[in-house]
Amino acid sequence: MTLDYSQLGFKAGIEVHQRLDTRKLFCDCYSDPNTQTLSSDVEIHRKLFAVSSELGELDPTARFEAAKRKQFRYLLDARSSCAVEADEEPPHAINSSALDAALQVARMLGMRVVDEVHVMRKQVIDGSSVSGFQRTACIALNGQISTSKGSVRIPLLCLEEESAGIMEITPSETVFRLDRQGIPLLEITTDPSLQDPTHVREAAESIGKLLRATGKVQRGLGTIRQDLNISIANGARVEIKGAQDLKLLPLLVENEVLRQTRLIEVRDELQSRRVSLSTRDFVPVDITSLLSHTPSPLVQRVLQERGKAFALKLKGFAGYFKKDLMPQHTFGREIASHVKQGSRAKGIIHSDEDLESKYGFSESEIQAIRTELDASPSDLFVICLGTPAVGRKALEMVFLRCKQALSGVVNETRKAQGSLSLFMRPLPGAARMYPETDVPPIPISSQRLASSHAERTESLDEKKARYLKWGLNEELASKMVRSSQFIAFEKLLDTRAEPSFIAVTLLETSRALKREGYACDALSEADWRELFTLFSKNEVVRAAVPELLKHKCGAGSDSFTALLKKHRLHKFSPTQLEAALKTIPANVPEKRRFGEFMRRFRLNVDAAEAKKRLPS
Amino acid sequence: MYSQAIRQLLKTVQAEEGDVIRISFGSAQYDGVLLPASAEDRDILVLKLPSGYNIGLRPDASARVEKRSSEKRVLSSIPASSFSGKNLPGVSVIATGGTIGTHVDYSTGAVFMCRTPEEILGTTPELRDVVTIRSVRSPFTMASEDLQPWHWQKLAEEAEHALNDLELKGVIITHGTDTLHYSSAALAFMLPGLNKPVALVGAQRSPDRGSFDGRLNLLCAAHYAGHSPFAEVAVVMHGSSSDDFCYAHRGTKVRKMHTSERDAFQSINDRPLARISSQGEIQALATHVRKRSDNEVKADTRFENKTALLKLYPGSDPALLDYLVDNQYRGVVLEAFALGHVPTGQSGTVMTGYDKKRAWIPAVKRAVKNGVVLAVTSQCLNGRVHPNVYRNLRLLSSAGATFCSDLLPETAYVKLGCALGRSSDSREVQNMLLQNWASEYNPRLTSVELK
Repeated sequence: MTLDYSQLGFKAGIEVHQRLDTRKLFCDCYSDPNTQTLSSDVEIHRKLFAVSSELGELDPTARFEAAKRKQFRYLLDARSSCAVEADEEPPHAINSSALDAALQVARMLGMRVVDEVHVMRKQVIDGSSVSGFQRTACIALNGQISTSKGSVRIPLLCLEEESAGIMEITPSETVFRLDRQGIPLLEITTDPSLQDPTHVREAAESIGKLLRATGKVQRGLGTIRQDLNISIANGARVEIKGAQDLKLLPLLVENEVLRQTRLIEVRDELQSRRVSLSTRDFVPVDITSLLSHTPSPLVQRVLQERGKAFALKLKGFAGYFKKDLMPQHTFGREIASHVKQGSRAKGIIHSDEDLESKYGFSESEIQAIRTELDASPSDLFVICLGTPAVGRKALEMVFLRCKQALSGVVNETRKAQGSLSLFMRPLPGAARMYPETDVPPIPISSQRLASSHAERTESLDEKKARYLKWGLNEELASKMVRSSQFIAFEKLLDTRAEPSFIAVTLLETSRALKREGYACDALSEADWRELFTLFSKNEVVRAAVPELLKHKCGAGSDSFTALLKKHRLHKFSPTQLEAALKTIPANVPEKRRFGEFMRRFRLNVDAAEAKKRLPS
Repeated sequence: MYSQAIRQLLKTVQAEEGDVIRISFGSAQYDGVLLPASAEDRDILVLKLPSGYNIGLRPDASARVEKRSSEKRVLSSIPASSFSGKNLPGVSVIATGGTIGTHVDYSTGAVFMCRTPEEILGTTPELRDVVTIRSVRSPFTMASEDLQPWHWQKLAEEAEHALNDLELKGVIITHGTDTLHYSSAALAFMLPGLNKPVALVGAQRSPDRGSFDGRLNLLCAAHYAGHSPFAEVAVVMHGSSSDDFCYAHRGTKVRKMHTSERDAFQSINDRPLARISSQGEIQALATHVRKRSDNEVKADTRFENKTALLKLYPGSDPALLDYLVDNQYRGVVLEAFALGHVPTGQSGTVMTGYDKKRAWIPAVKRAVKNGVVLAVTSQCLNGRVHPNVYRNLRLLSSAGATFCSDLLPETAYVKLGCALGRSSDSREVQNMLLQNWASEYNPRLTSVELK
């Protein structure tokens, strides 16, 4: 389906969130949580409450989260979390490297930096911040990036704390790991002027490139992510959080536009058929007794655990729950995601599904339910299983969402899942922010600004051009500018080893060795310097380098020079070469002599030199 | 207060704090609400942007201000909540200040006190199902580091009033945490023959946060005051870093042991009176507890202000004690080393003039001779002091100092002040010091207390 975005009244903006490669923003913990497993030393259990505003109003998001009455469990490990993350100690001073990185990015985006940074508390009570708020500060205003479709304004650059990482969600509890919480995060917001899905991707890509060019950002999975704000005419503003894959971004945008378009169609159809829902229509019915002899294994299981079954009739809704809003995403699935987010129910069963084959209901049961609910063929019914409180709450969510469908698209926050998105919670009201009184305002002196600006940052394209000039091939140069190794790479050039050899070793050889279990990333810059100096002084041949690295990774404190001796990996002197040549038996045919020689001595002899002596 | 230059600039358009203004200088232009200066004589103007962020701007000579609107928000009171009307135990709340029982103005970060039961309920709505707050009285509003002994006296009088009210089942006192344990000891001593539970409760996190710990503390304090069988003054605070349960610590055996953690208050040389879950289960832990009674309480608030608490340290000068004696102090608690040691200059083989000058025994003897009561407690906090184990202890004891067993230094200070208030005879005061008035002494330090 091709959509004409300007016709649709399409509006989109993005927020790019990028983790910085420093210690945490308000404490001295490490910021490298990229291990899959977490060995936690301590766990704490907390509850969070919605705090009403000075006007006595509860934010809709806060109310939604608080209504779940969830418990939160936090896992801490000593390396990457301390009393600050646990909300047991006031924040330390702001991490100045992170602040300097933000100033540098502000400069690159042509922004006006504020004269004094005020750290704020932004209320968050979904548990992802132990304190109940996220610390965030506006660093700069009014910048822009240029794109193929004109320049895009960047109204805001903020420096804030990363949230805690979710490990497990159950209806009653969410488990978080605190190694992620408090990592410095740059938030760059564009205005809603992006014109179509590919433009969204282009803007995200260009901001990402610019961030990487600073050399001060983290790389790898989860270290950069985009939130999208999308609306179309007659639709509503929807925020989609946590898009990580740039390739999927256009499709994600397209699917949201599709969803809003379809929801508008549904509304129009329902209205033209005069379907309406009023509070009187919310009549949940306990149908447990109708199902006492049910063949459905799912229902049997719930009833055995003393659960009950509740049903709700939705007048005039038959057929709508199987309507596709996005590919593989029916209106029924949309409703189910609301129920899962807003209640403790695990899901819904509805009459637009094949109840017999999917759940094993009998035909007579279905008929009995219809009769009990007084439902005509044009009516739909929904069943929820669980305790009376859970069942009622779940059906209430279903009812409210269907009622919303009568007015079209609603403002909400969704979570990206590949190219689709799922309902997360209502859109928050104006962000509730107030000063973080534990951190005094930070004046930005002109000297500080000047020194952060002095670090002129070349773009990734400029950098790549430089690398190509140094003899790296296209692929290697592209890889290097995207890698965090580029800093080490540039520093090691003064060893006078060939640049492309340094690049291959840092990027490819070490990666291949890592796959075999050798931890080359543990080597220090001094180690690499020693290795490349040996190479440039002709004391080791290219082929011996991987072997040398393997020994180094297993050897602890031995220097490369020592390892060279120990494992006889040094390059042969002319005399040694002569002696080696003599070891090839005379009966080896002329054309195989080179091959045989290299098979024996490839770690000690440069192939090109040997070839001169043994023309094959 | 803003600098002269900024005030001048704002005056041109009569812009005041709370007004929406537009400020332009250079090529930039900013709209937002004008906020108060972040410090004295600030040349940086603070603006709240429509996005909610505050920023600081340093206007230059070219700066121009425009007043966009002057709708000011009035902030003073917090959203109140009403009571259930269920037949629940009545309690009285005495609000004294501190982090708990406050509310934050979201625009400036300034803190307001709750003044009515409804406002307190607004911070902890679950109280509605636990007690009925009959009254909230606030004799003073102060951070606890500013409290003086006369505040304890005032508090004891307020408590006496509530304790003798037949309608009330207990008293909750909201209080700053810094000196909460001094106040709890003072109330325990000033309310002899206590008849009902008195819960002192504070918070380590402010109520503007979703993670406000005072919510659980208040809830457990309400369970303690309204539903527990104890007639004891207790400090009710988090039992761990989690929001699972609180301990009710005996008011004379508790101490703040961490600057910021939720479970900063710990019982020392004693077990807590009870463990109270968020659901209201009260599990008694202590072995010796006073039960509720129909006694009428008569507060005895006499206190001698000329009482001091002095910490010993290597190099400490006995002239410090001389100073107190010369300034008519009547009692001094020595927070001595370990078992109760002070420097005597008599333990080593090398004697120098320095050692003699730093020896405390002559100053102790002089103090005692002048009728000053000296109470000896330990910097170790855990365990008892002892007058006999080492020769140096015997020197101090025979010089006339009173060894106060497992009494905490802060509790000893409060108790000595009360005893001196009640008698002018130093021998009698010494005797009072050693009597067990409010379980401030624990004769049995078992494996439970010693952990």
